[in-house]
Amino acid sequence: MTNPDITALGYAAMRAAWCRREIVAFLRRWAAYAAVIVMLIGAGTAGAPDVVMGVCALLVLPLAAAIEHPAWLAPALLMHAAAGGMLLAGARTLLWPLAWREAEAALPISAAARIRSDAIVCVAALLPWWLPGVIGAARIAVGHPSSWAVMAALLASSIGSVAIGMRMLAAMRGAQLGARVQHTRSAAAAGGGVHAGMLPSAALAAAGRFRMLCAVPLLRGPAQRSGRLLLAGTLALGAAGLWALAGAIEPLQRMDTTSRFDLTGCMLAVYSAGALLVITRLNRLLRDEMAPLLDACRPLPMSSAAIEAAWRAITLAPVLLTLPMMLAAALLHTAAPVLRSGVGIAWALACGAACTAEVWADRKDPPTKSARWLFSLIVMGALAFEVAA
Amino acid sequence: MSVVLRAESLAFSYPGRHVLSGWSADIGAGLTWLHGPNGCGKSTLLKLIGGAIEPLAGRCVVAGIDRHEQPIAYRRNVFWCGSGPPAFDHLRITEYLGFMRGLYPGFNAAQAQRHLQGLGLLPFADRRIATLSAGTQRKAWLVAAFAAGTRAVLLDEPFNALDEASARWLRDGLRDAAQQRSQAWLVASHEAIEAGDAPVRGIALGVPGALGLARTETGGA
Repeated sequence: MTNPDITALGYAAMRAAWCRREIVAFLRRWAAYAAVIVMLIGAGTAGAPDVVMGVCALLVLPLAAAIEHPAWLAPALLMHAAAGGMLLAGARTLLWPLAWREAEAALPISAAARIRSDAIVCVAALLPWWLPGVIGAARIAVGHPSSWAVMAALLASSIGSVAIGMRMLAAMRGAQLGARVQHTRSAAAAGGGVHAGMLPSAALAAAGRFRMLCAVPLLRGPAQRSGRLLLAGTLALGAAGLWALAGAIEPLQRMDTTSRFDLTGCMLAVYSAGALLVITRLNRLLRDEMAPLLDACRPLPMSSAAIEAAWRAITLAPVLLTLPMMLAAALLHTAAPVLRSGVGIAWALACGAACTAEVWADRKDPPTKSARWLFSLIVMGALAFEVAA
Repeated sequence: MSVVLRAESLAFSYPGRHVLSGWSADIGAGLTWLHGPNGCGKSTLLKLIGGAIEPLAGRCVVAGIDRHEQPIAYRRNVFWCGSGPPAFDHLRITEYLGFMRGLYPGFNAAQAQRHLQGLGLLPFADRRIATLSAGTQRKAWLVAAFAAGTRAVLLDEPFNALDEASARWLRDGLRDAAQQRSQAWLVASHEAIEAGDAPVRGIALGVPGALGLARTETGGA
């Protein structure tokens, strides 16, 4: 038997081989479902090419809308980048499996090589999102003077998405959960301090309880994962809201192929389901991460009920921030005439109530939770599709 | 004994459990057997020295290179082989060894070929690692360890899942390692490591949960 050839293989090539294999497998697994969704969305339109073009155009609709209303441009770019970032977050194990963490940490791989290969895999993973967007931008741009502006906005948001993806990969790689959790719990068990650089009560009084017990733990304390989820969830819900509003304004009406599709209703339904998911996950994560902090606060002269109430308000922040923003934008904008304001407010109230119930509900009662979820989704979904006139 | 690898005051904890606290040792060239009961921290210690996980405190130095001051140079001089199958199992064995060759300047391709043959891996050389049996996967990692050419080699339970012929080949390899004058081999194993006439030093880790549990024996194990 001849000796096999052992040719040197670079880190980037090794990562690319993994991503290529995983992304192809992923597309094979989900392509049929994507095709069904595209057909459902475009049912009744002229033909398959129109359906595909229409769906592509939907991907860049918020950007096209924002270019015509410059005040929206920065939030639209941010939200669009966040949507791409959320896609990368969903595909994170395709980009870099956690099982590699220890083995890779032990290898002599330079930071520059890691950053370079992270960028390559993020760009590769965003291609299925970016290429339809380019086609969509071209579709929207037919007979439109700002075609290059839409392309440039898409490019800018894609760069933002790649940056989010690279930051996420760096966080995955750097997480030393065992050490950090232990450090936090040891401090909590000691009862005196809570976390490096935080408390005791004199410092609390000086710096403000809210900042020390709510903001600091999320930014640089034991609840940083919750902080990241809070930010990502708010941006993603904001993006869904923006899409919903964009569907009610100009560019959609210009697009013959998608004018039949109730984009606003669909995106409000997506927002509703997304809000429930984000709030439920955030509620659990925040409680788990803050538990040692709460234990450490018990001997201090402050109400633990007040602290818990503040944490619940933080859990609801993605909804509390984005719902009023959407309502205000809809009322102030030209979209208002095509939306039913009464139904819109009812939908927003239902959404807020469902999320609030989720935060205050008993965690140890799964059957009730399932029933509550089902009821909430049906009510919110039904109202969402009635908002557009 | 010329010291190749030095660990000073290493500390590490998992959630709810201290594993190491203030662990120190000087490890010289040749073969050192790391032993102790289950859960005493042998694998964790090898991961800490190998750079796979970060210690809470302490430092590691190999051939005068400090892990925190020169992380890449340090890792070029230490090879860690864990107790399970290797990561990057989407690669073929030849690609995996090629990946290691690209990372370790001292990688010896001839040694890799020799161990591929000795461990019976030649028929599987062009197969993806994920498609191979547990023992065959581990052999690929062991080949990389023998060929990496680093100053320190850390093997965690190297006999796991090996067939009798491969275990014999590995014992021979470790016997050669015991004669080394510039390379330190630290092997964690429940099985006693023997190297014929060559000396094998021993490091015993203490009972599970104990703090400051280092005890070093010098001499034959």
